[in-house]
Amino acid sequence: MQLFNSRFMKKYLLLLSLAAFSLQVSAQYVQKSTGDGSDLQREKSISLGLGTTGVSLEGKVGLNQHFNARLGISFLPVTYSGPLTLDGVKTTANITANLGKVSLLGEYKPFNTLPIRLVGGVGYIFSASPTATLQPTQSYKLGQTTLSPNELGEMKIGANWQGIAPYLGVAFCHDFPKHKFNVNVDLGTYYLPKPTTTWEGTKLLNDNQSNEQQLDQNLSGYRWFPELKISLNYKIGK
Amino acid sequence: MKKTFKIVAITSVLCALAFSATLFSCKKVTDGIRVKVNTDIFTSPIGVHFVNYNTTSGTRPTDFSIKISGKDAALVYTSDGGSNYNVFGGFISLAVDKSAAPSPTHPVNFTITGSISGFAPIVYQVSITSDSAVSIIVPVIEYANPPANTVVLSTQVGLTGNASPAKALTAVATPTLANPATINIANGTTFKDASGNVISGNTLGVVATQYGTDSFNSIPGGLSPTDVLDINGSPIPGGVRFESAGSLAMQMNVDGVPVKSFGTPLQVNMPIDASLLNLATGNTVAAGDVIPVWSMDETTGQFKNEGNATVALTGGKLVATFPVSHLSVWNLAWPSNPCPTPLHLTINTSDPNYSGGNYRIAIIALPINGNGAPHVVGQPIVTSIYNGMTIDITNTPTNVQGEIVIYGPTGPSTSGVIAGSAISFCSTNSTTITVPVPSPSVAIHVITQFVGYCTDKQVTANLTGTFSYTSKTDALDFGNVNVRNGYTRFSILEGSAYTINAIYNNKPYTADITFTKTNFKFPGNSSITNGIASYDANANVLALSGQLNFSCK
Repeated sequence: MQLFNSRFMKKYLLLLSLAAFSLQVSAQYVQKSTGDGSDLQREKSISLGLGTTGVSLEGKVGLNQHFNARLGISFLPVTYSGPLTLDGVKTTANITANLGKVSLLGEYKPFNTLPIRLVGGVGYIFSASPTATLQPTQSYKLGQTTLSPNELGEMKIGANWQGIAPYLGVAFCHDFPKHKFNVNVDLGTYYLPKPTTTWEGTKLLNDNQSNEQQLDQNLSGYRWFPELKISLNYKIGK
Repeated sequence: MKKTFKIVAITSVLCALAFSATLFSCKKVTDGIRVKVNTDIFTSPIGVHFVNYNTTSGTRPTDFSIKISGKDAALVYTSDGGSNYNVFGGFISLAVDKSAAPSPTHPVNFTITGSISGFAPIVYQVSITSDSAVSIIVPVIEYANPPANTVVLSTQVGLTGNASPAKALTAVATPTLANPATINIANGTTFKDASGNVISGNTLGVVATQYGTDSFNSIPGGLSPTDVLDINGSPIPGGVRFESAGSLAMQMNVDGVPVKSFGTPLQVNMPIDASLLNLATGNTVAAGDVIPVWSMDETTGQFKNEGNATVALTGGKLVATFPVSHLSVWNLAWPSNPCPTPLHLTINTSDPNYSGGNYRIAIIALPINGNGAPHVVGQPIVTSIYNGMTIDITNTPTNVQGEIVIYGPTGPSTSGVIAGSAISFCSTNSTTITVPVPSPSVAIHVITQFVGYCTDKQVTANLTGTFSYTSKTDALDFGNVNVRNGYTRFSILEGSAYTINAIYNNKPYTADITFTKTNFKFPGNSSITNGIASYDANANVLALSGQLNFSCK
């Protein structure tokens, strides 16, 4: 649940933004036929992407001069194992977060001359349940007793964002390769379902379930899942 | 190209900023969250109340320290895991290490000793035989106001050359103890300290407490000791049950230095109640009968057989004379073997939802063959009750007719017997008693959530231990509640006013509460903070919550 606040993710976003700018500088765009559309063929492509939502595989088909449709799937495995301090409580943490989604998006090209598309649609988050297993690493003095980490036990905290998530964003560069390959950049965000949390504990920490309600409240604002993605497109057919 | 690049760049930056603003505006994940730690790491919660045996005296034992000694002392802690045993308001909460797994066949035995200014020394043996909650009342004798059937002799003797002249010391007789014991000091008796050295001084101070038949329950060491040596110094397996004929606790000092032994043994003449039953003969005591003499080590509670005293008819009264070579508690008592199997008592309540109160369960032995008088055997069990609860009563007499009686719930000073069951001890293995309890209209069911609030960490402890509630006006109107991970449930009379007392980290936390069917806050002077009470009229439940603040570093 600290994924979106982590320093790692913020740096990652910044690096991808810079990569996107540099790619846009070198991208060429090709003016397409602006006739009545009768001479347009349905273009198709398949793309492999890498971004903040992980590795993606997507298929795209041109519907007409202004609209395309995209169907894709992405996956982002995240693990972390190491020290983590939870507001003064020092722990050793094992965090796993496998984020997976399928998406059905539509592209709209408002400009014939500019390689910018508005992208909207819906995704289904089929896997977004990060869990963190936390083991206290220091003893606690309660009354006249000192409880060791082994006596305390461990906590397992989970959050779940599974469900339908609408998407809105902008895509840069040409929608289809002029020849066989090109590069696309997507910048947008998914709006995730409200998360639900679980908080379990063992031994003397087995009574923390009552913290779920507060954690639900604290995570209720964590619903924006930004996507910055660079895709390599391969044109299918001529 | 340039224009396009600018449009794209500006758009990207704005989007990135929008996302960043969203991220930073989210609430901190750990806001308002405190890690909760349970504290039920011990077993057999024990609530101990020290009570002035003279219930009419306005003096109550309050704050003092005690020691825990005996075979299993290392397994006994305060309920928060400490080994500094400090009593606050006459109450302390103890517990047993879980590894002890106490049972009737493997009890946890220890002795509580203590000293309160103005009171006789405290020596109380405890035997824990299960992991259930236990309430203990330790009656203490106030020298200035001894209870009926108890006399206190307090006097001084001038010494010459560190030795005493011949003296016969006798306490003043009272209507309930008309024949006090006499302590005879031979001419030239010297007095020795714990190392066996003669103490130099000019004045011998003497305080002697004599326990009569009705105050036997307050005899130091109790009437069912488990740590007992025979005359050869060998342990008696399982301990003994005493049928006491008289007990004397003596303390002496020479110019303030405690006396432990004498150059010449003292001689004590102990009058014997002629109505007492001699267990050995089955008849009332008579001249020529032999009564075993026992001494008790006041630091360990261990009893030792010191020989026998022969009853003689002196001046028309029965008197037993025995030598005292060292200072301890001396008890003339016939021993009997306790029943090897516990009596399994089941208590049902007239209201199945009732839980609480302060009840005494006493064992009464009836005369044998018409000899002797009914009398209480052993120490009464003090406990709150609930429907279906079970108690294993150990150390009952063997082959004696008797009964189990229950005194209830507002304190034994004001309540009589409310239920009972006839018993053939050791032949009957189990019995059930139904106890009439306050009706639902006058009783409130109380539930609690008491937590320990770490002031220096985001940690909250769900407290475990025995909390007490004590009336400010009636010293014997009190109860214990066993709190486990912050939670307990008990019943109490509507409108009753008590001081709730919890002890944590050697500090008392209190709140004065009047239990009413309303919502209220604890008084502002409560050291149990953030205390509130919420009443649910549909369920007749009063929910109490509060916190004890302490450091967890």
